Amino acid sequence: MIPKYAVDRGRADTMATLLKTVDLVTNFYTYEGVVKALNRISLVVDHGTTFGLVGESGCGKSVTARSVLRIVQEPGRIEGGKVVVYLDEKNRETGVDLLEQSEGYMEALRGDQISMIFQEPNAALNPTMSIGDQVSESYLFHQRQEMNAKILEDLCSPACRAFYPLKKVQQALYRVAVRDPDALGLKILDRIPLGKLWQKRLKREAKRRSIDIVGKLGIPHPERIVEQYPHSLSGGMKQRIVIAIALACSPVLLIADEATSNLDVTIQAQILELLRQLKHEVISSILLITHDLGIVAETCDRVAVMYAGNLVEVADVNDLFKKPLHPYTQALLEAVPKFSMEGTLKSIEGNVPNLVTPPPGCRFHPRCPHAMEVCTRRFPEMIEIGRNHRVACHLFERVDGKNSRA
Amino acid sequence: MEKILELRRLKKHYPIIGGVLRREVNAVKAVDGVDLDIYRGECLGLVGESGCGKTTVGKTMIRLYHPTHGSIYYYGKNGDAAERLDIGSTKRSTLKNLGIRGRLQMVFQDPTTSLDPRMLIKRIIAEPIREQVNLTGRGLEDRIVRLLELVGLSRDHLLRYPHEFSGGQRQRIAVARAIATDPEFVVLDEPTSALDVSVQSQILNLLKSLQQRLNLTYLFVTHHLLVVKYISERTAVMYLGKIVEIAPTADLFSRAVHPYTHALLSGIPIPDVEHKPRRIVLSGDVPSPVNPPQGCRFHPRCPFATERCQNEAPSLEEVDTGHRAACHRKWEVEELVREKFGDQIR
Amino acid sequence: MKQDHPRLRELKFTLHRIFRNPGAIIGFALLGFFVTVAVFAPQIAPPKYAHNPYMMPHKGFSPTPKPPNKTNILGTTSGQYDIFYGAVWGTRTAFKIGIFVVGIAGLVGVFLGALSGYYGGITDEVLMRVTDVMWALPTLVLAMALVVAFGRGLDKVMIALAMVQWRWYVRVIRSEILTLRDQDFIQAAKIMGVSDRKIILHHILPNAIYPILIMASMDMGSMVITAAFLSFVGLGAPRGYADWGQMVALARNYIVGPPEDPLRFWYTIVVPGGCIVLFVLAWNLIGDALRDAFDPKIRRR
Repeated sequence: MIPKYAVDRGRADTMATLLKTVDLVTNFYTYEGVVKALNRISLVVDHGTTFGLVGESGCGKSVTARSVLRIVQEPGRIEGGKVVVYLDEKNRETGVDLLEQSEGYMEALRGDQISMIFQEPNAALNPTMSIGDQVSESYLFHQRQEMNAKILEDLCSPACRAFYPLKKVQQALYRVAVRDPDALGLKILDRIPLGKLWQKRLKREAKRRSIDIVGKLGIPHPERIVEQYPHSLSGGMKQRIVIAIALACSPVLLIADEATSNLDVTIQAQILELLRQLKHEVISSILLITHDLGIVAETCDRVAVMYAGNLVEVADVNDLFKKPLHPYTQALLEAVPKFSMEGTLKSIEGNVPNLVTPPPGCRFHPRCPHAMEVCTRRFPEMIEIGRNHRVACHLFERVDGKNSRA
Repeated sequence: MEKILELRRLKKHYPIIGGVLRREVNAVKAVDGVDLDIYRGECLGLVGESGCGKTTVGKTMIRLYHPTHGSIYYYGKNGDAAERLDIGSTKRSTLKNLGIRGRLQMVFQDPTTSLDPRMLIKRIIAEPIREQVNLTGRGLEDRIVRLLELVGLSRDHLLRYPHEFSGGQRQRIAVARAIATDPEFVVLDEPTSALDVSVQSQILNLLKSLQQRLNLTYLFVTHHLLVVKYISERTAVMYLGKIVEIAPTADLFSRAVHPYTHALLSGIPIPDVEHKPRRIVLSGDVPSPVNPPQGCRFHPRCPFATERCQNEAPSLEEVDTGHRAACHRKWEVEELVREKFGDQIR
Repeated sequence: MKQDHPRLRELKFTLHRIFRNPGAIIGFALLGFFVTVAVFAPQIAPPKYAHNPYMMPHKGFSPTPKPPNKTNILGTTSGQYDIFYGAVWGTRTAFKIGIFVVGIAGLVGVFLGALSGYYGGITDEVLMRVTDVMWALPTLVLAMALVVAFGRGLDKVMIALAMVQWRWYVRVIRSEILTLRDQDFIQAAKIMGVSDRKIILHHILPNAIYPILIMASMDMGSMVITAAFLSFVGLGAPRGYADWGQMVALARNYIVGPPEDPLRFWYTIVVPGGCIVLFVLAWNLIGDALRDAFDPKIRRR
């Protein structure tokens, strides 16, 4: 179990770094060849911000999120770079490179410090388990010791009114559990019939916490919902439960991978509103992955645009929409139907490139209206333009070489 | 403008069989009384959320499903009322014999599942042509290539499987297949929802140009309001199996009447940082079409519902030229919205 | 870049997927071996009785099996039938049984299942109830009943097995069709006016056939085992017929030899038994490999 650093949430003025990926490389080894899905991605997500990762299908945004949590599916492999998290906002020295940690460390991290929610709520919920059981799973895995300690305290306090011999037995058991959670005795006890009953208090505590978090998400009558099964809930409710499970242990970072793409407009509005409210109460930062620029404009503080496995532009949201620098960003903004629109939509000619044999140099050059000769040869590095605005495009390289490589 | 299709009190119910004796205990009222006129050459948008019945209307209209009640009138080329045919009650084989089958076509939402994964492109597009005319060999191939070129593909793509193409290309193939029989009317069921943003605009522009070149009439079914604003001249909004508002698109977006339309419009995420949304966030979820609420179907979620709304179902009535809405408080809604939610930035 | 015809490319891809699996290589190698033996049976073991090559030659009637020697390469069974001959021609019999049963059962099952799945409604109800009746009959009991009624013989056994085996295919194809029936491309075909018959033949069956192929390959093996069992209990092939099950039947009394040398007659049981085991193993491995290759979830990576 990793120690949980005390993170001071709710103060967005401290722009301390939360997550930093450095030159992340992920490849997929398929029949058709090696798919170079992520080509040296370097992102910085600060505490207390909503970071949007935008791109079209195949650009690598989901792969980036999965690489951070190290849940990339076969045949993918993370092959380079670093993923550093600074869970303690105040202590910058304690960055941890997730790619070098053990799987046990990652298991303790996922769901507790960094959570992820996906697009399809139906696939995320187990249809054979009640809602309460599924939310409790998170507590039982991550907060077990804490709950054991709390129960022991309650048992030993004079306020406890249980039957005396039973109380003594339970106290002993929980004392063992607190001291040594992997005690052999407890494991054996779990195997004999009726032996698992000693965990009843534990489960009850987990359920109490589940009802708590479900209620915090604005779901009416949480004590009733907790007894129901996923099939009796609507899509919007299911997604809210998924969010509840993700936020159960108050993670520092929530990664939302197209979490509202499958929902209706009115339900999507509800969910976005919910995330906005929770951001300062329960979570610190959100990494929002989407293809919908409208959602990005409304909810994000900082945005990164990806194309064909590369980061092409990173900026604050206002800068990105008002002064998009990269030709791809500009084309995207022009290709989206807007409210006050006259004339025809401009479309981007061509198709997304094959990532097994990507075009040489800049991967966007075959479709770029401003492509130059250098774009077909040399890969553009990220350059910093103005305040916190980075772009990877040869158009912005100054001839004197006096640009700061970001 | 001459009409091409007319729906009168169209209903499509899916029976729910229950009990030991397998009787019909209830029904999913997917489409529950729809009146709609479609004019030649126009693009009519049909919007709504999941479960409202818009896809079912489209599919029933072209006789993929059999309507439970009501009529679907198809007007032949001359638009003469006497020449109309109720295709709702005509057998499918008769439709084919009369040649009407080829005139009503559809493009589906997901190009991955709408093309047979085991068939070559050539065969996929040849299929509808062969059903109509007995064309083979060179003549058939030339026609197929012409169709592919119309949608922006080429002869090289004939001998390939669907999975070798990108999503946008597959949708183009689906469009080519739909226009292969020279149809008059095409139902477009969320044709761009499964595609990327940059490809979406390509397909929308393609559909627009085809409409002009081939004199097509479209029914554009979608939940994406901004897309419908771009492509359609008239738009209808559906909720729980009924049409709640229908108007020329510009009017719908600037002077909507029905509260549900207001909620939908305010919910669209706008890719513009200046726009600070004042959302009408509706409470609750979309009710099930099995037991729609009494009276006005929207009343449980409507922020302005009155007692009359709980008991009496409103009918589509005219508010302005070509603009109809089904709401008891239609004259007051604009004022109410402004009071409660402030001035929406449009 | 000149590319192969798409069907050829698909075939190459499928072959690649199948042969990624080491089990598949073993399975196909074994199968290749058996096919060769079956095809060249007349050359490998020249028949003694030209009109009926399936009768194993025997010199004498002594019940004690003879161990492998110069004239009988793998020894003889009880009744002096040549084991080598029986093993070689038994391969042909095994293929005959497999192909006949799987072929008939497959055709009937797929036909009925396709009708049932596609049309639904009353057709489905009636056909499913008929199939339910068939499910009530245990395979072996039905086979025995038929044999008792019509006399013993390998052909009666094959008919009995075919009659019973189609019920599996009906279920599998029906469930595949129920999934496919509401897919968009089927609806698209309907909108284009394609007749039901053509939809089933050209759209549904080519997509639904994979589980059937997998099942058929597994059945090839299991039918041989069932037929062998029936021959073992005396209901199948007549005595002296070149059938592996029949040969095991002949070895019934000699599975364990005299107390001082219990393995003396090992060849009477190991040879035909081994043939059955390897044959079934080959088909099972192939079936597994096909299933891995055709599983749509992991097919395209």
